[in-house]
Amino acid sequence: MLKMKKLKNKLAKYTPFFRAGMKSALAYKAQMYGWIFIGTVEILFIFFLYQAIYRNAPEGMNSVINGFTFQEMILYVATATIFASAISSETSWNIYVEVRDGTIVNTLTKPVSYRLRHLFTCFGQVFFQVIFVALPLLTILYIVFISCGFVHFEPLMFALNVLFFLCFLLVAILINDALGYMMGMLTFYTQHMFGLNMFMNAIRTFLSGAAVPLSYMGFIGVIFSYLPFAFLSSTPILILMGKIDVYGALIYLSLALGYILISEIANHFLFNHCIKKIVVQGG
Amino acid sequence: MRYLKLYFTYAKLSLMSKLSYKSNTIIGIIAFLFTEITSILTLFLIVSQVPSLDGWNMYEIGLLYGITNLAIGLDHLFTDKLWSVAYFEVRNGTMDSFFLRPLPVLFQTIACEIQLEAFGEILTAIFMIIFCSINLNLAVSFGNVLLLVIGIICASLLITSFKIIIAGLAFVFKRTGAYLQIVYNFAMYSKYPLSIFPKIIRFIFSFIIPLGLCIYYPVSNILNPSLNPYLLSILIVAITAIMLFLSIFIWTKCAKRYESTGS
Repeated sequence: MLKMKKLKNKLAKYTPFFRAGMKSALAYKAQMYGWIFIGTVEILFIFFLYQAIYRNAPEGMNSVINGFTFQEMILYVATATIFASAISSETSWNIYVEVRDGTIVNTLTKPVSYRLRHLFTCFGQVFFQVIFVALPLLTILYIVFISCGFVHFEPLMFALNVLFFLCFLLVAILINDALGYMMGMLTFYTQHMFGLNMFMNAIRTFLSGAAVPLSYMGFIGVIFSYLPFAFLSSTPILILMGKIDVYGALIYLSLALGYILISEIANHFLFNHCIKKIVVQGG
Repeated sequence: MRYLKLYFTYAKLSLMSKLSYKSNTIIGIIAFLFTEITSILTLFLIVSQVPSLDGWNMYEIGLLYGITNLAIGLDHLFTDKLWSVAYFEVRNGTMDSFFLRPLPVLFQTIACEIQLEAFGEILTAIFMIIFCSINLNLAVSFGNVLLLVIGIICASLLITSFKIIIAGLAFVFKRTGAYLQIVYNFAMYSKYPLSIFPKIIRFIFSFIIPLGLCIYYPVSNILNPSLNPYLLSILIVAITAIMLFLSIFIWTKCAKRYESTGS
């Protein structure tokens, strides 16, 4: 009981960072709606691309390609686009700005953990994105697809999938932020965060199955599905779509928790190593 | 001639500044190279599911993709500064020096930055063009080669024109980067055969954002000659020239609304 209270007190000092993250997301909400518009246009183009693919497949629009019907494919792509915008965080960019401007010293001289500070800022930002953007959009999307009969629907099973999906949403946020933090640490060695972010985005989009389902990649896709990147798109979406059963979901969940633990330990050592390189002007 | 000389001086300065941070430049080139490679792999994974996409086989789509990317890469190499005008420069009031010099602001904006990162795009595009052309066993007439070269240059200039218009509007609205991103992302889809899109999008890519006119039709003509390449070249040049003049006109008008921070 006493331990719980201590932990609560310890975490309480990070709530201002959570609020700051949320406020920052709110301040740039116009920008986020702009990205939603871009995402919608992209989904529209991908719709036409896949429509042409299925139209040209041997069995036409009724074909099943790599385990996906045309409607399932569109649902996958739309969910992936919404999911990516929901979990995106600015941790790497924030670290870059702090190191570049020297404001990192403001945190280092305070009795707060640098990692937890960024994690809570990320939680604040993502909270806004998930609650006010992603979940309403996903709800509309699934209501439309289910009511049109485009996807198989069993209420109990779907409720279980949603529950697992929400767990994997949290997993995705944690893994994504851990990767962002790792990326941010590279700022101590190079100032080209734009290039690094771009590089990371390319890897993330491809290996996570956000660009194309991992089942399109055959055997390599099976290997990719066990990498941490898969938890950023493919695994949560397949669970929501009911393409991974409960047993499989539990295995993936334990694997994801392992990845989170490993990445946080790696981040801890990386930070301790990088911090020795910091030079801040005293003026 | 004076402007050409000045351009090279600006370009030399930009290159010197870029190369003083070699590791950053290399990271940028590798980042773009890697982004392009994953995009090509994604395209391959999708298109390889069917024997042909509305009559376009994989190599033909690859050729179209490579040529479009070459145009995009050339624009990226020479006019990248327009992005920061749309996003930051006007908003932060940091363009004062451009307005104080006795040279056109647009010329200085474009000349002051050569973006070496674009080589990531250009190299993958050239590889795709060579690889797909070899596999297609292309026998191309002089007229079609000329049409293609004109198409690539004009497509690049068209992208620049749209960037000039939207970056120019930043002088009035302060920040137009998001709008530039929307048009840019939209234009990226001209990498795919126009025949897969509905009529309205085909119309947009042919006449409103006429990248399709500059690239899709010349590539189609190389694969299945049906149009007069010289007439098509004239049409492409005429439309590009109109767009370019229009963009310069809008930029010049909008630039008069620039507000300095005064510091």
